[in-house]
Amino acid sequence: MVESAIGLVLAPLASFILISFVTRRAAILSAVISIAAAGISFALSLSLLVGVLSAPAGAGLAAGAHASIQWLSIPSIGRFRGLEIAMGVLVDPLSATMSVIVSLVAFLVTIYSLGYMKGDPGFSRYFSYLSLFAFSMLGLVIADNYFQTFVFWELVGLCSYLLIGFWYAKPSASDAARKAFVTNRWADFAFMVGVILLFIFFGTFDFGQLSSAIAGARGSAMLALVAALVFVGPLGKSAQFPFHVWLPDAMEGPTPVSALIHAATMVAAGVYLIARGFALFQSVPGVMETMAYLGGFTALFAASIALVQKDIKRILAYSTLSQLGYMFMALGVGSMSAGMFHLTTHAFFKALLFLGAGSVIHATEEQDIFKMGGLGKKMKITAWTFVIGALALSGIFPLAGFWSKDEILFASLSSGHIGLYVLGIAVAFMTAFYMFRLIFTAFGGTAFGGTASGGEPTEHAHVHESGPAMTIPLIVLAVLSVFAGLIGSPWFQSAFGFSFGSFIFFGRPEASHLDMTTASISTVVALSGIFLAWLVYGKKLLKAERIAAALGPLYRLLDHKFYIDEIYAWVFAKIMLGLGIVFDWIDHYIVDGLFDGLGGATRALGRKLRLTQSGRLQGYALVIFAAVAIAVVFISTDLLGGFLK
Amino acid sequence: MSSADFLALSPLVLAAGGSIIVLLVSAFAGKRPAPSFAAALVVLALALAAIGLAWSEAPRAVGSLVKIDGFTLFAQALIFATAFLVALASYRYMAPRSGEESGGDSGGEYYFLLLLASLGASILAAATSFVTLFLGLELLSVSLFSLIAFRREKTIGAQAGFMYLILAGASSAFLLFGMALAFMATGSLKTADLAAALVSGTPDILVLASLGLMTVGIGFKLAAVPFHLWTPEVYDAAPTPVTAFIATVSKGAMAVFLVRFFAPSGLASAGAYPWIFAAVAALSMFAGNLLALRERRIKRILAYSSIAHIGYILIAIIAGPGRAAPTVAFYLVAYFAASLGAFAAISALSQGDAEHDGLDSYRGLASRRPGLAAGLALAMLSLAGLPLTAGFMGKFLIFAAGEGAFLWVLAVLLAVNSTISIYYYLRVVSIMYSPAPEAETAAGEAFGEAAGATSGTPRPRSARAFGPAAAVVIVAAVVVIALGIFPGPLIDLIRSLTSGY
Repeated sequence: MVESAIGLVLAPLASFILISFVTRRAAILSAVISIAAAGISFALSLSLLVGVLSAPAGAGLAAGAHASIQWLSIPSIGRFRGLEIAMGVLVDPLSATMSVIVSLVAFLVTIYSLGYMKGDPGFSRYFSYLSLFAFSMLGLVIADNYFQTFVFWELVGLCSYLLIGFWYAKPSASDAARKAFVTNRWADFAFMVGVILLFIFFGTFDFGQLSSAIAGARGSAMLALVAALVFVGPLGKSAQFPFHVWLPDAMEGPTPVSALIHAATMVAAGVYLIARGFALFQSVPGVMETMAYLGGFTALFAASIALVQKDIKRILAYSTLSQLGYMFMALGVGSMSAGMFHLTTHAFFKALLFLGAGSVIHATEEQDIFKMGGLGKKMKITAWTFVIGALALSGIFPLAGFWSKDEILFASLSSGHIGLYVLGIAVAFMTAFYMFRLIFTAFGGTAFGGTASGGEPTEHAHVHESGPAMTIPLIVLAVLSVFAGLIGSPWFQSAFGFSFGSFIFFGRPEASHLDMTTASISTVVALSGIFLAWLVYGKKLLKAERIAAALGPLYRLLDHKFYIDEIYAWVFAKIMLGLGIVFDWIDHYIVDGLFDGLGGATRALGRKLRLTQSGRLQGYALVIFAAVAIAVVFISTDLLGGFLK
Repeated sequence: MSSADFLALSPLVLAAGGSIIVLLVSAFAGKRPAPSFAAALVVLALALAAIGLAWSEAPRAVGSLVKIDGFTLFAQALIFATAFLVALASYRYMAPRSGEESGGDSGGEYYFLLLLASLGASILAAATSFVTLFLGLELLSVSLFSLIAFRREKTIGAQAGFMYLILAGASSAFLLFGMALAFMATGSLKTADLAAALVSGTPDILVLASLGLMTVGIGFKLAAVPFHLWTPEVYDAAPTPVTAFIATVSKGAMAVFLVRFFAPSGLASAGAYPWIFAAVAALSMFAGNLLALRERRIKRILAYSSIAHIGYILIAIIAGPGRAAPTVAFYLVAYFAASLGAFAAISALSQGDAEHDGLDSYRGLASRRPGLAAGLALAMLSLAGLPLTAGFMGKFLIFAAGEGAFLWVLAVLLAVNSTISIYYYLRVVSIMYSPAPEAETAAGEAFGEAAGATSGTPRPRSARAFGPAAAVVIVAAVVVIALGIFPGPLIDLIRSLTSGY
């Protein structure tokens, strides 16, 4: 089992190395290697999952395998405490499930990219980055300690940077890449400090050893500090408020990348890390509450922004933020299985939606939904799979999103967070509305280009369905979006004796349940969201412009994404730059002066010292004689009176 | 001598006997250096293999002269392996150059001298008596005089050899006089007896004076301040592989002797001696690094850098029983690997006609010889102690060993000095990776061809092709990276070997 785990990580690495150094010039070969590597990873991760599943039900952690080698071992010397860092593999239901999700989506996205990136000058580079990402992400998933996690955490961040800025010649792309990198660096800094403190306090990075060590340290202030610091890392990676600003901009990258990294896997790494280190967070109630409310707030906040966006990828990006908020909310109210369940289903339907959007963009070279229209007739597969994805996201029975969303809502209700429950239902309504706003505008209506402005539809007469490399992944993901939710349903439980909640859990297994009240409320709410969208954008009974005008300031607030970017820009421009000027002055005149002085003095000293190197033998011998005299006198000071003692 | 003694000494016996064979081979080989080269490699490989034989007998004291134990054998293995690599790096470098009078000999005696010097260093590392100390030291020094001045036709080589001869002679005189005083005071030539006399109660003035005098002989070999003044001239003028040998084996053997002398008795942390060590360590670090700052010739830079590294090693020696030996042993491996990498790269570049010494000739090297430039850059980064290299781990261990008592001041000085040193190490790297101005390259190229033309022979084909020196660069690079990323196994090995210290 451990061998498969190592193999599934190394396959993409081999592909990355092979593409970068050997097949760089052979574009198609590079793509084939990358697809093959992703396929191998997927097959191996499936074997892991089967291995874990075939263990007795409810065995939990014991069902997996754990192996590690000592990577760095510095023994204790005197009071200096030694450093032991291991590199290891941890296979348990959690990591096996996550690696299946990651490798499956990566496999499909790599195939899809074959069609999407056709003819791009950076074709090989693109596939090498995809492989590097798969390696980093899978390494993160199977890591058995915080140190290794951090290394791969930074690697996925690097890949994200490389892929957002893939079209680096475009200024907006390289700006977005930088923004993503810098925002994440703020969060990762806190994460790193947290991990270091963790080691200082507990003397180990290992997840297993930590969870028992933490149990003994409950309630201490330092544990709270560590948990809070470590928690900031996932906030950045999963783009939760207030670190959310980078994710919408990250849409500058190629769309398959948005699907893989910025929807299905990397942004979910934050959720995964919280699940992995659940022992740490659960022992600090304050952090859990913060997590729940921050998640809930992000869900509502991002969903409301998504209501008014016009760019198809940005709508999906805000939707991703909102859904990640859901997951944080689930984890925060204490239900790890609900959070992970939503992560799983979301990975499939959100990847589907992004790839569908990519298919649309590929065909129309347009991202503004109001300049589209009537695509449903021209791109049948894309349209239908997109609708399935949207229904799954909206939580319509019996699609994947229905089960996982209800699980979250039920978890928040049963843990006594009524406020979050109501909030979650409101988000469900908004989600259904903005998704079907998108669908009715882009896929419904009359001819493409004709809806809003009555422009020239003939200009885009060439729009047609994408090729099989792109449509087959869409179909596979659509099937998964329909059925993936069933693994967490009571039917599955009764048929197989276990379900998602009894499989992935922390502390105690959770049986699947179908709370009829929650289910009916959320279904009604979602359907009314769809109905409203149909009234406004399908039937056009209500004029969107009139609603916008009536809501005036609110609309503008949403349209400007609550002015968060502007606030950040202002803070950076005014306060940071103001501070910057002060620090610049200090740096220039005091620090630089000091160091220039030091540097100058050092160089001057070096120059003076060089005079001692005269090259004259007699001089050198003289120095030696003088040194002997001093040494003998100095050593004999004990006898001569001993000024040293 | 029992057979067990013989087994314990087998590496030394093999090296000694083998050196005679190499000398004979070179006498019969005519003008070709290849047979002597091959014979020397075989002898060194056999000596290295014999370490395994000796290990079965360790620890074993042979008379009162030498003691073969884990640490000694580790040092001897390091010495023979280094000598092996130095011999590899020498082959093309020492091959007769175009336009030089080879004088009708093959240069095969070079390898004989190299073997003899390694033998001396190995004896030094095993010495437990002043007799063997002096024997090893002189065997090493005398071989080095000839090696430094091996290029007889070059005045500067002869001058440097002469300088080394005079200063080594003078410092040996002090050493001998110190030994005589020690014998007078204690009636014994065992180093342990002197150490015991020094630690117990109030030592005799004779004992103290003897130690003071011996400091000179030891300090000279280590090239610690203030006995360092000869290094830049000698490093610069000696053939580059010989410089590598002086920087690594010659210093390392003395450092090992120092640890074996001082660490077990606790002498290094008693009385006035730690102060002397501390002062010498601090002075060596600062002098070495400051002198290197403005130097424009790479062999001199490495000479100054070696002075600074001895300063770092001295900190570890004061750290006392249990800490000194493992720290020094690891540091020596790291330092040897990086230095060998650097010198081997210089040797590889200096094959052919011109010695590659001035920093300016390294401009744009990365585009001309990317592999060698990368190897040299890695060696520089390791010497500077940047993370993920062996040098970082070595410095880190010294830092860890150096905490406690007044040593933390030295540890801080070590950090300060590492910072200073980064400047000149990185300068070498940045020069290599900056583009070469077109005109200069063209001029250099023209110069090279002109030199070839005047001598009437074409440039030797070895000037560019992959050779044994390049292989040494690769080996050094692998060691530097492996120890930087995965130091655990070596640390464990060293700790088990040096458990007696």
